[in-house]
Amino acid sequence: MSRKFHKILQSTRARRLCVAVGFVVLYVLLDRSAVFFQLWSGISAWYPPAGLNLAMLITFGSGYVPLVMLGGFLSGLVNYHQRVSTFSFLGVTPVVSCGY
Amino acid sequence: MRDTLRLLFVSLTASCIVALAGVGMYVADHQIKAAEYLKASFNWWVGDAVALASLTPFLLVFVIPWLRRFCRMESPAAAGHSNATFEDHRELHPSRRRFESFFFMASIAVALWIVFEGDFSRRSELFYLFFLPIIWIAVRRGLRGATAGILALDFGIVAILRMHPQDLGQLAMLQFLMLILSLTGLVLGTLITERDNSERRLSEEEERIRLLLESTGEAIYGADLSFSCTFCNPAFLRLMGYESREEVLGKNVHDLLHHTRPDGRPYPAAECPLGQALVNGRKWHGPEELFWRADGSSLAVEVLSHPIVHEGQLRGCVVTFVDSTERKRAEKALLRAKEEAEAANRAKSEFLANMSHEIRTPMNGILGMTALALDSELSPEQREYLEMVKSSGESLLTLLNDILDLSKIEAGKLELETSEFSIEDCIEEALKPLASIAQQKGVELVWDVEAGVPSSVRGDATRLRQVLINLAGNAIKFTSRGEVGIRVQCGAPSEEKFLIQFTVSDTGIGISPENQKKIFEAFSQADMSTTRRFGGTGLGLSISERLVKLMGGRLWVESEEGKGSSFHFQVRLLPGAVGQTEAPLKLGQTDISGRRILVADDNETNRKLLERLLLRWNLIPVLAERSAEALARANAKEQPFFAVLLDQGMPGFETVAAVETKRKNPGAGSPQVILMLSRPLRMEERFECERMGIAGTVLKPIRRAALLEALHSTRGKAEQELPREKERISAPTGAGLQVLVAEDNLVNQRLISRLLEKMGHLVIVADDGKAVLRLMEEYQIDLIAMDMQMPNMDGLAATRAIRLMEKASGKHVLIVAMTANAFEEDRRKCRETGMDGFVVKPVSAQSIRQEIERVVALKEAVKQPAKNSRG
Repeated sequence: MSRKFHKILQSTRARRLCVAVGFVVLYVLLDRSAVFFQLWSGISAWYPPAGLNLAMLITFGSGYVPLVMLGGFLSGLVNYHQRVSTFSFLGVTPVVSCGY
Repeated sequence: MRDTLRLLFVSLTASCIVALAGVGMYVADHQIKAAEYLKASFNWWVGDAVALASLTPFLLVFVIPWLRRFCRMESPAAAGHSNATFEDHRELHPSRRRFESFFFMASIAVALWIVFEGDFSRRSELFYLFFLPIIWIAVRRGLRGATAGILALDFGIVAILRMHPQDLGQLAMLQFLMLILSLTGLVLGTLITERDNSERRLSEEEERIRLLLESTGEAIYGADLSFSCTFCNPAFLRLMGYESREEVLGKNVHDLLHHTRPDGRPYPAAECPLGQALVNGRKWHGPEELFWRADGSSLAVEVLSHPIVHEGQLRGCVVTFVDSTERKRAEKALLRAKEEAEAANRAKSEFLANMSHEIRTPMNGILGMTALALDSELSPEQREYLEMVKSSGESLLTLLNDILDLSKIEAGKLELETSEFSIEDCIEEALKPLASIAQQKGVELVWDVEAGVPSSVRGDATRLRQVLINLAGNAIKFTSRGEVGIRVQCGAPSEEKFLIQFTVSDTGIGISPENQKKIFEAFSQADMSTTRRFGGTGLGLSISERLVKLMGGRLWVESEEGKGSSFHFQVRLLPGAVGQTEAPLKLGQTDISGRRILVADDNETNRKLLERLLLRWNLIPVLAERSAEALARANAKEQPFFAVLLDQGMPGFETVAAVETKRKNPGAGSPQVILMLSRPLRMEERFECERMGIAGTVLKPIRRAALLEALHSTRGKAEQELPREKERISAPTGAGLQVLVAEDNLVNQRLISRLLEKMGHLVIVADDGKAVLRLMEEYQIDLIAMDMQMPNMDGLAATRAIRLMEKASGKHVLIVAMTANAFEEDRRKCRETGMDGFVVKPVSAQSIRQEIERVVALKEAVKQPAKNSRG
């Protein structure tokens, strides 16, 4: 199993996919860490996903915007249990992604 | 620093916009009251800004480089971006580094414990404690350390807040504190890193300069405004014989190195050019200075001084110098070698001149006497032997001339003359000696000058003719059938000169591409079999190429094996007086102008030449390429032809000749048929021509004078003009001049006397210049054939004396130099001394006759205007 995984990692595309998946997972986890410091509903005193977004966008370019949006939507659903039909769910994530 | 500030500005601005927009969405969802919009936006922005100022730099410094490698992305350095801002160049032992890192972490932990341990009302007073570890880390580790420290501190605060939740007011205050901490650490870390990088670059630069100073062979020292030495390099110590820098530093450099003049007198500092250059703040170069070593010995040096100017103020100078002893020695050796080479070159030139003279003198005897012997009664066997002697002698003379020419060109001693000449005359003159060889081989020799080529130009006609003879002679040599042609065209004039292009083409054996490069080398022919088969030395092309270069052009070849070759060359010639050379050839008032002439020749070049010449003489040419075409044109009911120029080599020429000689044109008589011959006619052919009624013949290559003569001879009225021209040319030789031959060599005395006697002159002989002067008083001398080198008084001295005597008498005796000195400077000397002509030995009957004709005609021409002016 380990050998097979090692072989898959030889491909650059596979490596980039791993990084993308890792980014989304880390995004959701960091967002989760911010839930405990909410000053307002959905507004945290410390929001580390913003730092992660900027670093990844600087490195990998605008190709990472969809991943940032994916991370935002997942966080909204998983961490804040937002309803899909709200402005804050549909609007905030694209604003954050495009803003950076 | 710039990168960090740019990152912060862009990211914080972006997060501000995001916060305003994001909170707007929450307000729209009624999750936040509209009245709290700005406050909520501020909290959003600060929360994001803390992460951007702490997490982003940390990721960029520590994680992203690893991610890039993992994803096999191009590194920023390779892409042209500098990553130096994030690098920590401090050299620390790894264990010490780890130890220090542990203390950093401990200091953060202690600060967190102190701040969060007590009551919050006192905490805000203790917040300043967080700055201490951040400043310490930033100072010690620069940007890398600062980013890690900031993140650790922020995470520490967050972790404590998670364990001991605070109310919203405290949380907002801490949020702002984290932002200030992050920004402070980031800016400080960047500043420290930048300073470190500058120090490192300065240190590297200093190291490079130190290495340069240490390794260079040039001695270098610096001096301040009082001319005290501020630094010096090892080469300085080695050259000047000092053991350490301490012996030199701080001492006056003039007193150390430059205290005494080369003649031993003291050298005052005020007069020292180095010191003056320093005071004036200017550069100074001393190619030959004398410095004094520590042991008192002197050293010849070449010095260069350069002022040191800092912020507009003169601070001192840097002086470099090298030991010039070797260079001086090399210069002396070079000068000596140059003088020796020049002496050797002079000796070579003298040797060549002497050899030329010494070889030509006996050659003159051999060739001249052979020619005289051939004129006498001989058995066929004797005649054959003597003809072989003559032929061998002429070959030897050609070789000698070629070698001398090549030597002169290579020594740069060949000077071109500039005189006015006609290109057509030049071509005719060049083809004249080649005509008989071409006729013997049955090769047609043709030439043509395209429209646009000036009739008269200025340049060196002799050398141009030499090139044409060389190329055309080669072409004939390597052609067994077909034709050899010379064609001339003119390019656009540039810099008041015409670029004239000559093409000598043949239908011979051709040259392979690999041999085309070799043939221009001296003594080189296409291959050795060529030398065996066709003879020759391989010097002709080499000489021609160099002569053409001297005339401002180039020579090149186009050739195909088995099909023939074309040698092209271009020369630059000055324009001459327009129409000057045309005058003697014009028909003038003869009544044949406007008559039609039928030209029947299968060779296009000949047809073109004849068309051009006939048009020039106001005649109307009608051209025919084949016999049938010629007959058709002659039968046409137009104005009858005055003459028919018929090529003997054209198939069916006999038919045309037979028809045209019998044709009776009403009121105009028979057209006069002139045959153009590729070879002289045999006796039986001559009789046949007379029987057929052929009016005349012209040998190819066609010469304008010969063609004109043939046309004149067809018309009785025109005959009066031509004899007048002949008379003018032959008169001097037939007049029987009293000629004094001044020659010390007995064989040559006999030869020249005999040749002159055969021409009908009376001959008196003198052994030297003194005898010439004596005999001139006794006899009425018309012309002197003067040798240049004679005992007692040479030819030049004798000429000077004669010209001096003539100043009183007003007479002018013609003097023609006959000498083996073939160089241009000899010719010039003769001219300057007052000689009228110049014949190079070995002399021939033709060369003597031509030169005598020329000088006599010149004298007549000078006399004529003088008579006219007297009225």
